Amino acid sequence: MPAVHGSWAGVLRYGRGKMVLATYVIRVLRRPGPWVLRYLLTAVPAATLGLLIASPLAPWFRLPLFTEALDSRSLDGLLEVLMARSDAKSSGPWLPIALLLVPLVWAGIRLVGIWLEGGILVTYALPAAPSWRAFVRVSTRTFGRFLLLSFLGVGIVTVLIGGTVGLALLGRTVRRPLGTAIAVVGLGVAFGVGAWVRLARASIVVREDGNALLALQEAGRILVRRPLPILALVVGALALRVLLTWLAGALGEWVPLRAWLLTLGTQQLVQIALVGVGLARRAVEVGLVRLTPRAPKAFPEALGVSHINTPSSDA
Amino acid sequence: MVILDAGKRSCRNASQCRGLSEVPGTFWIGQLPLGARVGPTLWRSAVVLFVVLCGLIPPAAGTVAEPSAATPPDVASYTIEARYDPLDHTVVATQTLTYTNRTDTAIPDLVLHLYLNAFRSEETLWMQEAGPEHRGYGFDADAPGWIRIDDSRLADGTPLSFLAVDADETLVRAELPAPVAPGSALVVELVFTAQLPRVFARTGWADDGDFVMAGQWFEFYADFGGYTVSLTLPEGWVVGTTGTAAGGPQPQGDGAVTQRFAAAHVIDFAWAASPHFRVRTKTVDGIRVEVLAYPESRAAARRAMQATVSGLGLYGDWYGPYGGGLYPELTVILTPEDAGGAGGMEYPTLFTVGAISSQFAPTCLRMLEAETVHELAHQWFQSVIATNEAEAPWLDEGFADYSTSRAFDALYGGVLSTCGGWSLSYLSTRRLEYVMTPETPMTGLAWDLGDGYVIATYSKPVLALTTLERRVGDVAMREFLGEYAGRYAFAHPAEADLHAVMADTLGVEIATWFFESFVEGKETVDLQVVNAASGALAAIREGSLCVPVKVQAVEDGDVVESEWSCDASLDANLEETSSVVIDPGQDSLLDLNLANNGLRRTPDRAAWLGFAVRAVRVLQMLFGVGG
Repeated sequence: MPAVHGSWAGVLRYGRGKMVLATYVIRVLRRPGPWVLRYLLTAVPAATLGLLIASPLAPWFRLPLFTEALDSRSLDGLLEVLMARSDAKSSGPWLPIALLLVPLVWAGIRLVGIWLEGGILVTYALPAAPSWRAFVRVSTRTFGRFLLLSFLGVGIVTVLIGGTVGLALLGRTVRRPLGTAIAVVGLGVAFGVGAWVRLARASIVVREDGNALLALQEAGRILVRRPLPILALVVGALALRVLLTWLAGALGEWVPLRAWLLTLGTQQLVQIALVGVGLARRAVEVGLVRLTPRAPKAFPEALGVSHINTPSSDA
Repeated sequence: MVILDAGKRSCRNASQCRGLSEVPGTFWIGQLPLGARVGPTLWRSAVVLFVVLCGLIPPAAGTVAEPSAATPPDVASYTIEARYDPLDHTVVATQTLTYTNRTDTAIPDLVLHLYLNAFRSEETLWMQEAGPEHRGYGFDADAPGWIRIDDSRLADGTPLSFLAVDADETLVRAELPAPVAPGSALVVELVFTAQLPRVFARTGWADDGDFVMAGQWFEFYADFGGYTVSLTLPEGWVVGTTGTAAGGPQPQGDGAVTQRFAAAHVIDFAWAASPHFRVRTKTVDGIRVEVLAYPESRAAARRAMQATVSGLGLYGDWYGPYGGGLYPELTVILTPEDAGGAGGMEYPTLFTVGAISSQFAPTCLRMLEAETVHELAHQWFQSVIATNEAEAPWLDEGFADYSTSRAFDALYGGVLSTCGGWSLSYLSTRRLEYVMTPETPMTGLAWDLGDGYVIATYSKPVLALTTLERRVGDVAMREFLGEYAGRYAFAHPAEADLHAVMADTLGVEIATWFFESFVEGKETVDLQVVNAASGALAAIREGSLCVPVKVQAVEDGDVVESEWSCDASLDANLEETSSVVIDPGQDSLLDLNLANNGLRRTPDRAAWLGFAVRAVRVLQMLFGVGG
């Protein structure tokens, strides 16, 4: 176990000194496979669909008003162009087709992402990076349980957020502070549910919980035992995501439309960083599961990866 | 009047609408008889009530277009003592009306409008025509409004006997014992009871009776005059009125308090009250501005105050002092949530702003500010420059809305919304309306405009006046506006008077162009850059509306600019140009399609790539959601 230096690592240091959560973050940096996969998972479809959407609109870029509107972020010009229906018709069927494809591609990416999840988690769970074959095997074996957990998580969060937003609106009508409080608490609970489901995933991989509901139970136990590190993780990851998303938006506003190469470079850097934040959060969650005592089961033989790897010096 | 309001109706023709008012020698309190069944029209009473609810009554014959004097002569003055019962929502009042006949015709009879009777049920002519819904708020048939004259007599005690003129009793008439001679005054004592409806179409009660907006609540003739009004309300209620408080509150011993208010040189009197109102005040250049709002609308009240104060400065600079320097106070009422139908309305020295744009409006969307500066502009273009909104509605709403646009230019760079990081200008919203029905002249009687009312009175005037401004320049425009406002303060100018001022200040040619092209004309124009058969770019003009513009062409990287007047083809060689833009400064805001005003030979590749890269980024963010 290498020593972890620096103030941020100190914040992450947790437990009785045998394991340090920062180690798991370092694994994200030293094992770039999942990072590349997660980045490409969204980048390739986005680039393909983006070009599919932009191509039919190329003739619109003969209209100076349209270009100026995009550059100055003016709805005035956009509305003028949209009112000129003949131009809209000239885009042909590809634009609506591409727009229709967006939700379908999103769903596909989500499914592939859920499938990749097992392999990603085991990559950070093991002392050494697993082989690609093991990666695929774990991904496949955990897919069903992860899918179930995703549906459960989405369902619970949807109900919670929908309910709290409704209550918040009602509260604002009657008493604004009450509505705001309901909204804040509701969103907090929703993020908590998200963390709960993710810990259950990590538990399935780390502790080989064969049953998704049992994994949820175990994750709940971890949530109760380690509330502060989990809170710090959720808030920290959220803050980083908000910051990076804001940065991406700000860059979009500040960089002129025609400086497309600069835009591409900066935005992809931000995107890569966003993927990294998500992976670091997963790695820390894996670490939290491992650091929380429990009567150990066979690990990770049941997932069929233990014989593949040997501990490496990095972790 | 609320902006962006498409719900205005009108009569179908002048004779139907003016009807009885054209009877020679008849004295009409108001002039357009509400609901009188003169001809089979469904538009008629709607436009009449609309005009009245706007607080602008056409002036009596003989008082039109007299340039203003330093102190305007009173025509109709009132002394009212009213008591409001918040449980029954009734006003019981005594009223003394002093009418001075400033026409050159003796007047033999007296006609009073009883407008609240139009709110009696869904069966009244006005309700049938306008429909039981206004700005998205429905009429509550279980909480109607009506008004009744309980007693009426002349100053010497001679009783007056009123008979209904129309089936809805929105108009009553009494023969006078002797005609009112020109220059003479008539004094009438009235006792009346007014039942206010649940808020609908600008008047009534709301918030379970804790809010009341009293507009058009008494019989009135809206020419300039003085008001002395005593209001008795429950203790603890906060009231905002036309004019100013005259003395402190007087407890009545029965849980009610009486307060007296006075207003001079105004054309109407309105008031609003609630026990929940909080008052925010500020004094600007000697004018006391007060904003009355519910506690939860504190942020909106702050925004309304800021917009009002800013607007007062701008309009005062452009059109002369607020109220001609005669009004010491201005009251802004922010209506509560369930009283949206009372919002967005102007009265002398008082206007209302609707809750729909107050509590939940994000600061990036300046609808609240737009509504505020629009209603504020009516303090000039209605309350002081009292044009006839029925016969020339664009002179009122058009100038108010143009003022709104100018104020937005000065205060917010013309931007109505910045939500989402994208800007939307105030003028653009008006263009969206205009291009839907562009072949609409601005002139016309309100009852003839039908569905084109909004275009003719709001959208086209603000675009036309801005086009005029961009043609003559800001300095000349300000000279014209200042002269018009100064010459006709406390008077009733018509289109001809405006034309004359425009000719005097901007020249006969400009005045003729403006009136023929925009006010009277319904021609349109679409300036276009197209691909010629040769593959080169060509500029064409479709439509006969005349607006001189500039043309910019890019040739070998150089920008070549030329003028394109109305009556000539473009005298420029575009064969070798890589791009052409007609009217790059958008001086012609009535162009039907601004998108086709410019064209490049080839797409702007760098811009397209920039767009594609941004689309990719949006999709990446989207695809990352939930992952």
